[in-house]
Amino acid sequence: MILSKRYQEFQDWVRQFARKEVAPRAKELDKKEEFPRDLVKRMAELKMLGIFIPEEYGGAGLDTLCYAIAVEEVGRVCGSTGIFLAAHSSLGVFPIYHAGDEKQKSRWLIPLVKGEKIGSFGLTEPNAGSDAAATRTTARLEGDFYVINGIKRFITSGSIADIIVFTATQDPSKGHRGISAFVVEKGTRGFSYGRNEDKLGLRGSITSELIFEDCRIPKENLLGKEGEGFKVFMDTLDGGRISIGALALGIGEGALDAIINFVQQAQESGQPLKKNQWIQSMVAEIATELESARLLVYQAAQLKDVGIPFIKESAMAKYYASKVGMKATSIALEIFGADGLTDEYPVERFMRDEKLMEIGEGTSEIQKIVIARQILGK
Amino acid sequence: MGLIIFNDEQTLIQNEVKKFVKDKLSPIADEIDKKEKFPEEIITTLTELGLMTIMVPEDYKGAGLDCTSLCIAAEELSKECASIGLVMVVNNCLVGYALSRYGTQFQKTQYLNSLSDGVIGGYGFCPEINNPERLLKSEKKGGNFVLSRGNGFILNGAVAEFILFSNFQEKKFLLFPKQAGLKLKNQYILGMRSAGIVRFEFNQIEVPETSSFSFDNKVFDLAYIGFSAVGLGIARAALDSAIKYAKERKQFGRPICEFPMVQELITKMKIAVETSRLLVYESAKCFDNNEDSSLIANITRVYVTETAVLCGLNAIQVYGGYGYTKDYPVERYLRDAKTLQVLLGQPYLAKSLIAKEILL
Amino acid sequence: MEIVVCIKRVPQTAEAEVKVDPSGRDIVKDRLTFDINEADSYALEQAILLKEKYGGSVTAISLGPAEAEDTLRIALAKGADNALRIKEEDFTPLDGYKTALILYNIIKDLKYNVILTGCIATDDGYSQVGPIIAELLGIPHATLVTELEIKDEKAEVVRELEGGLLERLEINLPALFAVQTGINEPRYASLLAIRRAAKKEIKTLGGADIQGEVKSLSVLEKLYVPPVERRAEILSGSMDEISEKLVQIIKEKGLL
Ligand SMILES: Cc1cc2nc3c(=O)[nH]c(=O)nc-3n(C[C@H](O)[C@H](O)[C@H](O)COP(=O)(O)OP(=O)(O)OC[C@H]3O[C@@H](n4cnc5c(N)ncnc54)[C@H](O)[C@@H]3O)c2cc1C
Repeated sequence: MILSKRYQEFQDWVRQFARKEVAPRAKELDKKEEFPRDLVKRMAELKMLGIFIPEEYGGAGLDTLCYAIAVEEVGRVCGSTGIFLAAHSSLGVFPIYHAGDEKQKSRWLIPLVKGEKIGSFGLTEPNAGSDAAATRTTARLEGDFYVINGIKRFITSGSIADIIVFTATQDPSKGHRGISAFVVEKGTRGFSYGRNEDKLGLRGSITSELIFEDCRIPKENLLGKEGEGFKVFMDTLDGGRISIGALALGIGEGALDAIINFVQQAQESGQPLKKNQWIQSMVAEIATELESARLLVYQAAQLKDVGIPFIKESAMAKYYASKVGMKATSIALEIFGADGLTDEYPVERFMRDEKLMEIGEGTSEIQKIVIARQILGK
Repeated sequence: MGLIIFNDEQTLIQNEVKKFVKDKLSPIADEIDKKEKFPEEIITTLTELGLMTIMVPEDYKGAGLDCTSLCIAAEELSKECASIGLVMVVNNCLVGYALSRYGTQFQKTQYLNSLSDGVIGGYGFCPEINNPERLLKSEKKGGNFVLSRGNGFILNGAVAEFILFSNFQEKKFLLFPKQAGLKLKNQYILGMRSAGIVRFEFNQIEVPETSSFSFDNKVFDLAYIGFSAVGLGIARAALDSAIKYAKERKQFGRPICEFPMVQELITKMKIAVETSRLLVYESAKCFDNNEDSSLIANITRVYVTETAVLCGLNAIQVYGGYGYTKDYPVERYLRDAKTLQVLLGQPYLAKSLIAKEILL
Repeated sequence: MEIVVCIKRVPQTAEAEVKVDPSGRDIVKDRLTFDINEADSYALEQAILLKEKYGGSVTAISLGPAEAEDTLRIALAKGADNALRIKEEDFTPLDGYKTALILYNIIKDLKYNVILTGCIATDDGYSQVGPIIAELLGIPHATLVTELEIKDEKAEVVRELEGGLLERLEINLPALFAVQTGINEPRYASLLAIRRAAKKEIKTLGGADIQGEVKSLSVLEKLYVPPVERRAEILSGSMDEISEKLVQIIKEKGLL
């Protein structure tokens, strides 16, 4: 796909940033399970935490395509930093920008975009994963407060976030029509964290359990209207899928970069490895698939930017990019052999990181259901 | 009756190993993996039971059994803990069998004999591709071999008392005790974390010429079959977990096993597992019948290790977010499977061997 | 010391789903796995330990189908010297008394100082066979044995009683002991031993080898799964409401 000059320049710029500043930290973040606060600060300085947010709210005033490119390039060197960027922007920043009123925007959106605060998004619960409408977290209006009870699970950046958008139901019998979206701030009484997950990959990203026990949040923390929370979240996820698609693509490309590097230097029985057709075949296949994934991701982003429905396209982008990304990272190990299993190369990390892309923000199965519904009708 | 038929002896072995695994290994398998430590105690018991010397002849205090018995044991152990399965397969195939088939009388008395006393042997190799500088090179100097610039991996290295190095250029094994001047380094590895795989490095080592002996394909045929049996164990473990979880986990008001897309994930696993089983025991039978087993061993290795990876991936997928955490063993299955798949050489190398046999 | 140990092959039903077959007198067995009865594996281990300590030989006997030979082979592999299968097919149906009577008929012609059995079989749960054999042989016995030592032709035995009490006894040999699980740690057969045992002959005896009439005293009428009463109740509501309801229920039942 030919990007216009403007996007090319942006791409060059983030790529430089990712390679220079993020890449050197990637291995260590994974090893030490360290959250990259310093990189968050840098990204804030570079206005990367609100790429698609207008300048009036402190954002970069760019668009979804730029955002997708940024997540892709960061993910290409570090999945953990990539998932932070994607979750903070798509899941923390976006719903407030999308559904918040002006007061809420100045209170929460601006500090999030400036990187003064970290954002997070709590939808998933122990028994409400793919079936997000099965939310059991409850909200009861008492005077000027909502009283919240329940548990959220697998929340990216949860225990370090300052501002958390989440869903709760006021009436479980109403299904998704009973669900509203709220914001809770760190330190609110009755709001606490369970443990952080010990994960296969994305180990530099934090995934937490959130616990609400008679947590009272002011009425003004309702995001959008009562009963419309599910819609806020579905809109959020439709966009979020583009960023997970971009991240999946980035991680897959990271694996391809590593393969190229390796193959160009390696020899086999005195011959340059790059001349081996077994290798050529694998490399050509994954490069082609990743290129197609890129087209899907960029297409979905552009549709969103011009305001054309993009539900099908974003689901396709996420589904396909994570699928071919997973294949690329897996094949990378098959090319590297035993060496690739060690931490001297990034490929095993890419594989571990990539697996989440087929699960988070709607599993591949859920994406296929979304796509099929769009094509076949409900 | 199935295609796989075990004789009385093999059936008894299968039951006894299953029992051992259930009683002794299941309760600690997770712990072994989390500690990422070589499970010495369990290995000692395996030695006592003869599981570390399955194919070593009775004259050298082994159990004198066949490849089928080896696969049965490897499959059952690996279903619970693939690291242990791998340690045992390495010791049996790349050490025990190699020594009994190719070793000199001295090497047999000295080293092969010691295996049943609990001595563990290691297998060292330099990955074939890469920087040619890394490959083990040997020169004769007087009565000695001078080896220069080796750099690679040792399976079972963390506890091995002696090591067999493969030199593929010359089709020779070199045997030397651990203290011969090697630098061993603990190495992070994606999977098989408790299998004691280490890195080695050296600039120059001199060993007596008597420490070398030639080998042929047979030992690697056996190793590939043994590795495949480990893969089969992992794949079955992943399948069993996925089935159990899919029946328990409810979303949208029903168990997820009722959704065809989940069924698809699991049926793919099942089909591949059943096929893999046939391949593993078919190749073991070939090996035991003394037929040329190179082709089938390579086919088996490619297919079964790929199956293990598929099963690891699909099991995680069935578990959703939970599968991505270390609260469940499925992420370990993927890491172990992927490690197994590429450890002894890239799958495309095995495919090229298959091609060579059937085409060229 | 001559030791006889009786072992039974039973279905492993702890984790399996057990169904009654159409006859109503047996369970469906084709999907079950079989193994040595748990208590019997401790009896076998005790027999081998005694032999290892005092010398002599161990004869393992199983009244069972042809597949029980696998169980006997493992007994041989673990250290038994002789193995003997009595063909169950010649005698079915069996109750505890008839089983004991058959075993008695065989054992009475063997040399023995100690006879060991498990204290209960996990399939029928009769706990009768050991004591009846002892009575028929006219020798003393002890059940639920948790320790067993031999001193000067006498056995020192510890038995488990209700309520956590233990009882120490001295018993003249020959005697029969029905051992409790946990008395020792059963070993696993090594591969080499299995290999050797696989080739050993297992003697089989059938109806023709038993003199006199062996008859059951009881008849199995029917096996059935008890009807399930649905008493489970799932409480719903907020955390507070649920805990309130729970307290209420516990109070109603008089537990609080
Ligand atoms: C590292 C990580 C970060 C995360 N970050 C966040 C976050 O920031 N915020 C948040 O809210 N959540 C987050 N999640 C949760 C994630 O979105 C869920 O894990 C995911 O939606 C799947 O839900 P589940 O894990 O409950 O799996 P389940 O829904 O239980 O799915 C299990 C399996 O069943 C399949 N399945 C379920 N329903 C159907 C159906 N109807 N038809 C066919 N197949 C079906 C699924 O595809 C899957 O294979 C995160 C998870 C992880 C692991």
